[in-house]
Amino acid sequence: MDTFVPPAPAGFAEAMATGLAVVAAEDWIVGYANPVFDRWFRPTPGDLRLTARLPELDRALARQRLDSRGRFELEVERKVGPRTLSLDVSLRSAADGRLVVEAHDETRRRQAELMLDSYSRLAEKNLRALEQEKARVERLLLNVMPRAVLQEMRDFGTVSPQRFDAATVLMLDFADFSEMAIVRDPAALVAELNDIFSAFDRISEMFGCERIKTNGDSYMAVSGMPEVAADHVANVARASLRMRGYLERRNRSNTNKWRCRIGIASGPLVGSIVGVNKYVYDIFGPAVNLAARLERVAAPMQIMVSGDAVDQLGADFTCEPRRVCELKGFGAQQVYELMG
Amino acid sequence: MVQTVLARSGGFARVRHVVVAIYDKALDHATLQRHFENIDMPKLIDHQTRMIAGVMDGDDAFDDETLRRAHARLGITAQDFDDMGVILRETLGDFGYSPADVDHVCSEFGRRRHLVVAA
Repeated sequence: MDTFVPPAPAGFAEAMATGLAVVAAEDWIVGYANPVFDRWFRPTPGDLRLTARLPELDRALARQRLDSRGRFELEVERKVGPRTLSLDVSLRSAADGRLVVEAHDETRRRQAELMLDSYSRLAEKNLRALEQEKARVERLLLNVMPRAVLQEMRDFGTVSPQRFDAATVLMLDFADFSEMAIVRDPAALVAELNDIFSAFDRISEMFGCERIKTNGDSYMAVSGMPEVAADHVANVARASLRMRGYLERRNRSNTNKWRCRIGIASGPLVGSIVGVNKYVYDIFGPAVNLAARLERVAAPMQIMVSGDAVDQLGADFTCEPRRVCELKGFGAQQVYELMG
Repeated sequence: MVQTVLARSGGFARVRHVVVAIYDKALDHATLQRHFENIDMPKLIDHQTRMIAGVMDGDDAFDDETLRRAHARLGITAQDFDDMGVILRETLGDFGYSPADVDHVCSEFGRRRHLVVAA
């Protein structure tokens, strides 16, 4: 029984926005074209071939693909009124040596692809800016907390106070700081301190120490926390000698003579973030106070070391006992000078 | 953190429809269409996407000099700019943007007037 196929309503093909044509496979003559096809691919007077309407068509390639696969597709652009349309054209082998040519308006898809490309480029640019900003923030945060602490904060959103049983503190400040002429020139002072403390930071890093903070002319570093280090006393001793050596060399060629006083003490310490919005990583424990007291009794360019710390220093270092000092909070203490 | 118009209005998934609608309306506009009909589509789409996303995002996708150079030879009149502003306002309204967001985007668009309109 024949299936009844109702005729397509008038304007059906146009409403579908599909261009349709039937072409003779042998000579490419267009036998039929619907109005949409005619509008997109205008007939050329005197030339009925499809190639006249569609010069982008590579006949040899199309023939080869039609023979092997029965289908050939290409994308073209056509200007229709003020609009440039992106059209997908497909040629299909049909019965009786004819080809069916279909064209679909893919302008919307093409526009979406172009917009996606454009937006991707914007997103990539923003991502790069974000990564740069992230690196900048990380550098800033590393100024107020050690890397391991920053990592913990990033991973867990908070940092728990942590106790370290064996660590060594270095406290440094400058003798006669308030009497130095440069103190009266704040800009020059900041530049000098920045130069010196930056060098100290490099030295600290070189010898396995971590700068904890600076306050005015004072500088505090530690070894043995937040990363445990078996040779924390030796690390701090080497760093202190190198810092003093750096100042000696610097003073030889500079008008301003910076003379440090250094105190070194060992003992258990607790490290923690202090504050909520304006936070800073700080360390607590008797060794911090003892190092500060030792720094105060040190003469210019002298490195004073607590008895506990000296006991842990190996034969690589020379320490000489100095006087017994009455240190606030610690009573009478035998103090030692680190010679080299 | 304050969300931008772009973020709170559905991001790129939504703004792309706005860009297409503006482009369509401009092409149907009797006097604006001359500025769009012979321009390379990829370049135009890229420009419009960055421009619309830029004014919605509060981020200047183009610096002033780039914007000025891009429009310098297009002969855009004050009336063209106003007509485009009407299309922008109308389209954002069609897509359900809040009146405050529409005002914000149109004001950002208007802020660039001196860079777009030919002297």
